[in-house]
Amino acid sequence: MVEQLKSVGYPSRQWALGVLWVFLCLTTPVFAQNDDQLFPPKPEPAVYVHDYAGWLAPEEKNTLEQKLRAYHDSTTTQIVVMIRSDIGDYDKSSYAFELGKRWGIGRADKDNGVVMLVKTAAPERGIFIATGYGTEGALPDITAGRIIRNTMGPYFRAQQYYQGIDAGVNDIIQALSGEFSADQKPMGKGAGILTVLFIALFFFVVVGSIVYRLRKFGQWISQDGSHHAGSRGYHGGGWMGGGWGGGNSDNSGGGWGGGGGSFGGGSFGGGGAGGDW
Amino acid sequence: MIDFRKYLPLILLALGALFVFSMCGTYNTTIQKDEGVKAAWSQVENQYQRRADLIPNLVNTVKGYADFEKSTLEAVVQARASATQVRIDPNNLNPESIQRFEQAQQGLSGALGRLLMVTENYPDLKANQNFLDLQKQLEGTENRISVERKNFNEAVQDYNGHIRRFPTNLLVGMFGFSAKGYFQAIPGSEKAPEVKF
Repeated sequence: MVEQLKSVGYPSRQWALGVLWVFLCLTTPVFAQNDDQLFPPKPEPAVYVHDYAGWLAPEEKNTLEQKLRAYHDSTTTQIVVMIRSDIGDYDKSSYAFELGKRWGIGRADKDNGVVMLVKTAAPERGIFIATGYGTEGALPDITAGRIIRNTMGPYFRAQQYYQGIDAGVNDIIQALSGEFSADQKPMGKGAGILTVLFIALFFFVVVGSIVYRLRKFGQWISQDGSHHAGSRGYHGGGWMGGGWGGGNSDNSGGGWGGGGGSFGGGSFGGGGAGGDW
Repeated sequence: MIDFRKYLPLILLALGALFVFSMCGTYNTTIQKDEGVKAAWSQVENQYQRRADLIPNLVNTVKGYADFEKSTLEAVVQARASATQVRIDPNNLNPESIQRFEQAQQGLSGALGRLLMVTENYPDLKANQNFLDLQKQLEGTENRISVERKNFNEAVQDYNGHIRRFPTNLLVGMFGFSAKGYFQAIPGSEKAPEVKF
């Protein structure tokens, strides 16, 4: 490795070692190559339907996506549907929890995420519905198990996969109804207070500088020419400019408005149930 | 030319202050990570407690079936008693105590596994709605236990990694921080035990 780097033309051996060191530092955190293939990177903004097995027609996928997106916008609850044939050495439950954890499905303060994993092929073929900490109360394991057994199972046995998933999602939504609402906007109170502060600061600076100028102007008018020269130093426009700069720098971190939101740190504690069809 | 010696005490003072400040920061981070481990531990204990709480119910349900093997049931009751006895002070989560806790819980897992295996032979029991519900709850609890164990191990990894690093390792002796224990993956137990019928 060092020899290679040298032949590429780095000036000295130390240099090459340094580069090698930085390279090693940068690459060592990536220790689980295999896992990275099993868990796709977190989609930003959030995407709710993931079909790696080609079980859904494009328009079916789109309809489901729109539904889950609208559901998030009205309740902040995030339901992710993941369809896969391969989950490596994981069993269904631990894959679903791990996915929920990695992506942070659900809001951090409500933990209102749900993962519906459909494992399409043996071994471990089946469905697992994983519930975030916050949804365990409204959607207990028994209910999740019943949704799989009684609602989704019959459709899946008839190979009507989209209908099955859609019916399962409807049941989940029904179970969670009234549990969460979009009462607080995700922009949050913090940003609101910041905006108010910025506006207050802006007014303070602008009004302050205007009053100051007026006072000086009055002095200048009421007195004779010798004072005029002395007060010139206070006349610079710098104050005004500073005020404008401070006032403009807020309100750049929007990003939430577009609908669908993004995955935001919800956590999973092992709730949920699974089953085959 | 500045007389360096004149400023030496000042420089030393500044360096000393810098050192103390950085140590304060490191100490606080260590405390924070320590608390993180304790919080994760309490979650682990909660879930094991939840499992222990399910067992009397399960035993009563199964006992109703007159000819059910007494020895299997007794083994579960025994294992539960000894598992709930092993309590660990959260301030003392060293590798030995974690291992002791783990062994006790493992005994209960084994006894429960045998009980559920034996129930295979009782079709009436398998049709009992109460029993089926308990089984589902037990399954959910095992899932939760494995998630919390994993979270605990991650918190410990974070903490242990932190206290071994410079300059935290200088503080370790002074304030009595010590490395904490992990849950060991017992062969075949990374996955929740199969409670499937």
